[in-house]
Amino acid sequence: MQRLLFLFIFCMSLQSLSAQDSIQKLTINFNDVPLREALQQIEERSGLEIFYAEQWIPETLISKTFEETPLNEILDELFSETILNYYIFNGENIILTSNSRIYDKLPEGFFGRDPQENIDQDLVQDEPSAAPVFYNNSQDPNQEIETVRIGKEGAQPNRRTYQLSGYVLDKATGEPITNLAVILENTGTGVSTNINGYYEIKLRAGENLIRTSSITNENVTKRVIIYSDGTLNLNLTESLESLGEVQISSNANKNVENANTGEEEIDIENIKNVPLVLGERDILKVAMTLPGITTAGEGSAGYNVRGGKADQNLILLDDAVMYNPAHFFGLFSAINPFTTGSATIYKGNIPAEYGGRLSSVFDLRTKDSNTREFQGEASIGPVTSNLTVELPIIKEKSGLMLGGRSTYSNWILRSLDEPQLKNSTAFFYDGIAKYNHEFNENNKLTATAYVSDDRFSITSDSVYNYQNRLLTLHYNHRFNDRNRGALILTNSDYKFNIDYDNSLQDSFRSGYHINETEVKLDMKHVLNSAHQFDYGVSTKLYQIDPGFIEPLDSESSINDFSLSEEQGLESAIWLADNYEVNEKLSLSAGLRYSIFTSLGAEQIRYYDPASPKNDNSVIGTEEFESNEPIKTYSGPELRLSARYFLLPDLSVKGSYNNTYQYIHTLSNNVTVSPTDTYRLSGYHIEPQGARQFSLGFFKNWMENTVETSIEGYYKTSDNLLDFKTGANLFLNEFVETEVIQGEGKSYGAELLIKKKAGDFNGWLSYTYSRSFLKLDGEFDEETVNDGEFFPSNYDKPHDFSLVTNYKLTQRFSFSANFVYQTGRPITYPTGKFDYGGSEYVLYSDRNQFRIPDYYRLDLSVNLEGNHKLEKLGHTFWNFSVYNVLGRNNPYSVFFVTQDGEVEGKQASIFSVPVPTISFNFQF
Amino acid sequence: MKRKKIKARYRNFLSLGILFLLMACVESYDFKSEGTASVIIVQGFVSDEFKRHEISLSNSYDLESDENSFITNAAVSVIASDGAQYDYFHTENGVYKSYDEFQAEAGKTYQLEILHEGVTYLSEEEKIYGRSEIGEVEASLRVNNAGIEGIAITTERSSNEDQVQFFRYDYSETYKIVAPYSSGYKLVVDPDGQNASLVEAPDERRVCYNTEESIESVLKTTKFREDQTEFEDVIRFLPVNDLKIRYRYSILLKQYLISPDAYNFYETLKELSGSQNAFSQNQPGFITGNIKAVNSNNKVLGYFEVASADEKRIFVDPLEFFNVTDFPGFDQYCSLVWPGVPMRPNSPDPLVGYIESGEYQYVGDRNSPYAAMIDLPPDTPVGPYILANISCVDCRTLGTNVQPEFWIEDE
Repeated sequence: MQRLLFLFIFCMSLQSLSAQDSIQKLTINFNDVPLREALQQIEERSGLEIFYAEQWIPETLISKTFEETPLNEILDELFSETILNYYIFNGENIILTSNSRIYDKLPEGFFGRDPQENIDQDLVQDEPSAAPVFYNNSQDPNQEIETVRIGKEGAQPNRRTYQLSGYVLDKATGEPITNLAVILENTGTGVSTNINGYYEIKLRAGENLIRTSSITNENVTKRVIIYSDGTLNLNLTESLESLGEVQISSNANKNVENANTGEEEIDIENIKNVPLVLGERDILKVAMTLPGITTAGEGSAGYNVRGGKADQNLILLDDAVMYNPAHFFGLFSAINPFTTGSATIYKGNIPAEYGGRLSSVFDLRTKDSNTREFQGEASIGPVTSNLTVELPIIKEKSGLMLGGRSTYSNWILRSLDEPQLKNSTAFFYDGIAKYNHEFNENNKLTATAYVSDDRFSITSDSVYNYQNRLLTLHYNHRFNDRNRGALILTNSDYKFNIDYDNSLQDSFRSGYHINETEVKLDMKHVLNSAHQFDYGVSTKLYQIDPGFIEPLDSESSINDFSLSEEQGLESAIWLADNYEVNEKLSLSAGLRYSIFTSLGAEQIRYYDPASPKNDNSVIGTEEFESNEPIKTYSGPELRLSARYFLLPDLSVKGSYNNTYQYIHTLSNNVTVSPTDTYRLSGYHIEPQGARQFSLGFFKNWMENTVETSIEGYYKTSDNLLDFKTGANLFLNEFVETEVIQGEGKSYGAELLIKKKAGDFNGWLSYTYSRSFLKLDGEFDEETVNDGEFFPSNYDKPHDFSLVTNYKLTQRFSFSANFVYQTGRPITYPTGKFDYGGSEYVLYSDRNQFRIPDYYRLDLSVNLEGNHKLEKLGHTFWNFSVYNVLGRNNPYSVFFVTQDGEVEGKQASIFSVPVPTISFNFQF
Repeated sequence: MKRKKIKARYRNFLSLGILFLLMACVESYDFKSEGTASVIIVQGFVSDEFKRHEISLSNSYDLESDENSFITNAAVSVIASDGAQYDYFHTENGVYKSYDEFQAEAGKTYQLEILHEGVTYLSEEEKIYGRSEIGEVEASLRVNNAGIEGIAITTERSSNEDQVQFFRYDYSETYKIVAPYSSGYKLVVDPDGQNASLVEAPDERRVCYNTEESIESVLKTTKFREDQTEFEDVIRFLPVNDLKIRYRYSILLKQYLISPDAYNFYETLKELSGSQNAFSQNQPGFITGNIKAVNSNNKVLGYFEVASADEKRIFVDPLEFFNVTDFPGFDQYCSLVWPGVPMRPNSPDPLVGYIESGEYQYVGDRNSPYAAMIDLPPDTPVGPYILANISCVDCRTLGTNVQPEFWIEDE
């Protein structure tokens, strides 16, 4: 309509090019009247008719008094803040136009111009030009390109180019879209948006086609008719179907460029396509498919990174340590996949800001809540339901995200025939709340609270319960362009309880509790483009109730008993320089110094060094007061890593780092169990230490869409905690009598091929690795396998994973996983013997045999709802089958004595294909 | 002891939970011997009872083998700290007995010495840890964790306030057996092997007694109960369907006060063989006891235990706790058969096969009430006699009809 009218006016103006004369003068008073009303008043007073389209007239209020003012001046004044032009037609009518100006004479050069001159004028920007802005109004009806008019054509000589600027924001989150290309179709030239989503582009006066191009967001094309400098802000929706490609585009060559070795990032968004057991999206399970990260078996909690023990991983959720990231003993992880924003695993060179664990850091970060509009996601699977909502609190400033998962797996137990299990319960939940508040661009506060809880009761007399609780306050401050920092306060709490209740007089509750509080100051300083420094300081207080037992009711004959509280203070300072030596060589050199002090109150026993530590070899004791330092350990930790570009897309990286760990799990189980307790280093238990060398080659192919790497490592460690056979760790006041500290050695080569983009994407990883332990104490009972190196419980030389996803259409995709692993070592009996009328098996050498190899194929079909913007929500269905081949993978082989006879048993967890449907809904 | 119990308990239920919850399966695993490192196994025990004490020696053996290989040619002696030496001699099956009667005394230490194939094995010096006094032994009605009623045998113990005590219990159970069916007759196969004939059978088949020794010791401790003066520990639980408590039952409970190390040794032995399960497996390994080879690297597995012993016997009348109808009916453990007639004139009577197997014996003829207890299709050709499991007509297959000397029928 607008355009037709415009065309009409334009034609009219060409036909009657008479001069504007005899301009009327008016006295008129506007007092807070809308512009439209003002125009009506002018019509009444002047007797002229004013033609316009109603939608052109803005809702502005006019307050102005004109005394004998010529009409054109009144109109000039009224329209000064608008894009309206006017033309007084034959002194009778006033025609208003939007943007355009009605000309009453043809411009100079309208009928042709010297081409040479034309070129010259094109070259000279901003040169005044008298040429009016004309544009071709004929449009291809198939092309739905919105036309935008910018500015107002002035009566003054026009410039040839105008500046268009604006912000490009994400429609959903309101966050600026950076690095978005704004391209001028006519010339193919363009600019990109800066960190604030801001762009500036010079356009030729008149009609321009501009197009945005980004992998993260929708691409839009606009016909921009520009009359003067102006702004055009764009709100773009995220292009959901290509989210997987975000990381490639933003970190296209991170694989080869990053100076750190052994760093893995998990693409959280894409894990929904990976088929997983019982439909639970699980970040940590996906991590298992990356090279160098394994677990002792299906249904085993704990991860082994590059041949390290399971207690050597620092698992951080928003900077707070998570002690037990497992539900159901490791079958599911306690990390909510819907609220997690990023997951980075450091298994090689650990940046200097992290410490306290030998093998790895799992740095998991929760997403920031949407601050613009309410958003949510829900999923329903066979085991859990999950709901996440994002609530803006102060628009564009702060938001609150709430996420919760809960299981309803009780029905699984109830539906079983086993009468004993009918009364049993198994339940878990986890919940997370994160508040983010951006005071201004320099100050941001986030606060996270997390809780997870597992509760089991399988026999009618026992209830077993464990709980993680985390709190984080994270304050980010940007001092200036060169300096920024974060002050982080965290508190982590982990506990478990066992309630044993029976009709006899020995009902009790026993349990364990650890709490740690850390303050960390993490600073970044950009010295220049070559040097970027990270430095900081942290201190952490541990408080541990190593164990207690108490009567559950007044009938019980159990006494209160608890081990004395354990305390420790772990502090560290660090400085690291990310140094770009030249275009090819980049260094990441860090030094961390950590210091640990174990604090009283505690009674320390001294033992005769000539005999094994036991009750009989005590030669003295010493009482330490509360908070009195008992023993201090400290040491420097080097974190050195370098990258050198051999070719623009081929780099070699090498690193050396050493680490200390002052906390240990006490467990004489083969694998991780939720009843494992953590104890601190102290007078008798020394800190663990490790050193790792690693070297790797990294190459990207096909414009960074295919990443490959091959990395090797060699790691040695000492003071690893192990225990005498049959060690009694439950409520043991003098654990040192059961402990053996030994050496570890591991090495391996890791291959990773990753295709992140395209309809067919996924990764293939293969690891060859070995992991050994040596327990060679002074005394017989502290020696295992004659004091020689032997394979650790998680030594799995061959580990192959293939994760693939094939996108048939935007909505349909197929995924497949294949996993192959060497069977883990087990301690095999070497014989039998009779004792007291019963037959027992005799074990001698530890871990000399292996259970059969493990392999598994999983398949899934993913069906996404369409991406129409108007649609209320976005749906996602996943149909998956776990262990399609029905391979009866033994998880463990063990031996029991039943009725005096020895029997071998083999346990497997998912020995049949497990089909699952889960449904996910975003709103 | 409690601590161990706790452990075993939650381990069990963890495994159960996961096992069934997630379609886990445990099946038997055929294991093969992967190497034989023979180890000497020593069970040494001296108590404060004045008697001829015993020590057992054997070798460990192959996994596939069922042959226990006893050590019969060792020189075994126990040396007391006062210089007294008690020598042992081999009796049979690796069991050595002291020549003389003796008893372990408080205040002295004892050491086991074994000389075998040129290698000397010596135990640590062990002593009595106080005097074991068994408290009241009682039977009571309890419900076990599976919700089944039964009779629990408990001891009342008073704990020592100053010291955690460790106990090991062995027991010997004797129970009365009454054959549910009696006929006064039995079938004997004729010399020609073709037929069986009925002869009178004496009544001695009806009431018997059987005695069983405990296989594994029960371990208990006063740990975490130090302040309690008196409490009960369940040593044995017999569910109502256990035929041992169908009639009169007696248990002789032996209590040994043992050292903490001995307790730990037995616990470890048990842990590595019993409460192992799929999901939380104890790290197995070689169990070190208190005996070592002095002049070689030979491995020894075993413990030389010196303990104070005490014992008590009780009799239980299950009808004090249960009604007759609570016990399993005869039909649940006795089966009746009614053999047919010979197929051809010359073929042997089907009865012969049953009688010769030793599994069945005469219970009544076709006119006896047993006939009504057998469901046969109409027109089935039936023979003249009805048979029952032999244990249901002749209790001597389950025990002896000689009443034990200690037996008291009624108190």
